[in-house]
Amino acid sequence: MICASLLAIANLWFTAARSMIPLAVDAKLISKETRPEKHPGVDDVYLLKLAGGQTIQVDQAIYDFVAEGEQLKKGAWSNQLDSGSETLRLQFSRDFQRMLWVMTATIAAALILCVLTIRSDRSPMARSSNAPSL
Amino acid sequence: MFASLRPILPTVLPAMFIGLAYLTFLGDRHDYLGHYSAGFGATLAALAIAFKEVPDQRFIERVSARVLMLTLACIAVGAYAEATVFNIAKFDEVDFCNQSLGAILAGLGFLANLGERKPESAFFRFEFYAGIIALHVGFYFAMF
Repeated sequence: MICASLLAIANLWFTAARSMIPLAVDAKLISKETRPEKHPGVDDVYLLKLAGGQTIQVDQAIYDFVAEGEQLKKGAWSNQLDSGSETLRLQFSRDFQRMLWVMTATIAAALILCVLTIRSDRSPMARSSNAPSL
Repeated sequence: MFASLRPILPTVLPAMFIGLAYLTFLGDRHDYLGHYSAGFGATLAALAIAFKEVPDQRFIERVSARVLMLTLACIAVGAYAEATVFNIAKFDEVDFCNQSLGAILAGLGFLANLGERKPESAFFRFEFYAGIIALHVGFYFAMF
């Protein structure tokens, strides 16, 4: 249950981070790069390389908006990204919004399985060591 | 035949429900479903193979801890695969989380089936088949 919860939270974090909303950025954009994945146009990876060596993966809308050489600036949890003199209003991707539902269902399923595991018949000796930390 | 499948329903039904959730809410990103299903299937098959050979009298001893360890090992193998064989663009953290969640549900589902004695060999056989089917489903959705 603990592992499932941590993974669900991590999944949501990584998906949310691609919107840049949780991130604080104040660096020059050195370069942009698109890396194709197994389904071109659907799951392509959009990378921004910032001054200082940091590389972040972003949603396509952000990738299309920013320009190489511009100063990117935003505060953590702000939904406004400044790229030079332009400003983009950020929003969580459709992937993140729908992942919320799927992760909620997954945690619920894990919880139900934990309850079933605890209630299932075991010997008293084994029961003391059988705590579902999954 | 359906009576024979009943023991594995606590493993299969929750996993299918979550798979349906992936398909419903994230249908355009069927690579997410693919990784989830592959993680579930590979882990379930590994659990079935590993625990089938454990002697009856020792089966229940610390079974949760042993299922946990094997599940974590499968997650580690999945991480290695994502970092190497499936590292097409980059190590995708979301793919890793999805396949690892599948592995966790396999471990929990396997545990939920266990009683105070080692199940019959048919249980392990059906769990293995379910795992292999899920693995193939995962491969299909992840690759095509």
